[in-house]
Amino acid sequence: MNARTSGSMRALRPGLLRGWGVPGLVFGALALAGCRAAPAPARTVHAVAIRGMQFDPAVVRAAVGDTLRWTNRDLVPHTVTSRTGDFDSKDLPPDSTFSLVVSAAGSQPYACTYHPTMKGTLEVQAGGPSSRRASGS
Amino acid sequence: MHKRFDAPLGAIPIALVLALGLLVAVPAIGRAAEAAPAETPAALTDANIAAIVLAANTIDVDNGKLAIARSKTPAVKAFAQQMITDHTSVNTKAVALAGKLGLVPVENQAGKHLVASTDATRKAMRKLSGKAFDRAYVNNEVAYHQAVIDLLDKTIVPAVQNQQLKDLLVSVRPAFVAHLEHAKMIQADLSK
Repeated sequence: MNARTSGSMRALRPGLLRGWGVPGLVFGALALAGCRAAPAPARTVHAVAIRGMQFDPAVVRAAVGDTLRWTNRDLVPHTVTSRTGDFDSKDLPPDSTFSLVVSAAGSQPYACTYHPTMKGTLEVQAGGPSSRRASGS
Repeated sequence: MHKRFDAPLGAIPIALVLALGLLVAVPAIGRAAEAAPAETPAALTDANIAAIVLAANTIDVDNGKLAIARSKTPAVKAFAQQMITDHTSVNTKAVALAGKLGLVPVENQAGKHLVASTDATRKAMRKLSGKAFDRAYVNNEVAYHQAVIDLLDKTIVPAVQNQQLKDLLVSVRPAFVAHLEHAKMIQADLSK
């Protein structure tokens, strides 16, 4: 299976660093003080299948720092393209995967540019546990 | 000026529906020719179905190539390119599956009628240009995808014997539905 990330991932990395930077500093400070520190919260990977010309699930609820992973299970190529220009998988052939680390809270609609009937939405919370049930991961 | 194009625009979907109607009519013809069998055998073999599937995808690839050559409308050209990409992908998968199953496509009369009819449709479209071509191409895409979906649902899927071939046909149906909806969107834009 092919795996890829988009060029726009560069813009998302600062968000990832911000997400881990504070817990990292806290952990370091506590370790230096000789105390046990709680591990940083695990980030959730949300799997989205592209199957039957649909994004499944069509709506994913995630938290900043979580990873979204789309896999094209159809026979035809698709794209995973933000309607606001924040990310774009570009051509995603069958059996390929596109991953993205979400860095900003808010609602993020996206679509397949090849097949305009295919639509999805990321609902990103500022932080805290993400909804595994909604993501299907 | 506008009236000059009414005949080809109207004739294309009718010719298509007639051609695909022949495919649907095949089981009835096959039954009538037999002496009231206790069980009606499937009129279409898997080899016939493989040939029709390959022909149906190739037809839309050829329609798309014509649209890319003749249309100057970005949305129409992009749609045409997508039809080429998607239907080529489906055919690649179908050929691979046929090879795996040792299935050699066998043409039947209905498939030949389909190809002949769509060749006539393309010939009519080649005489058009500009918006008249765009409308004729997109109208034909709407009619063609609807007819293929009906053909899949009413004739091909009920007749197919091999489960893997059936799974492939069922899995590509959503693509044809998405193409139909996409074509309708462009059709609505062109009518404005």
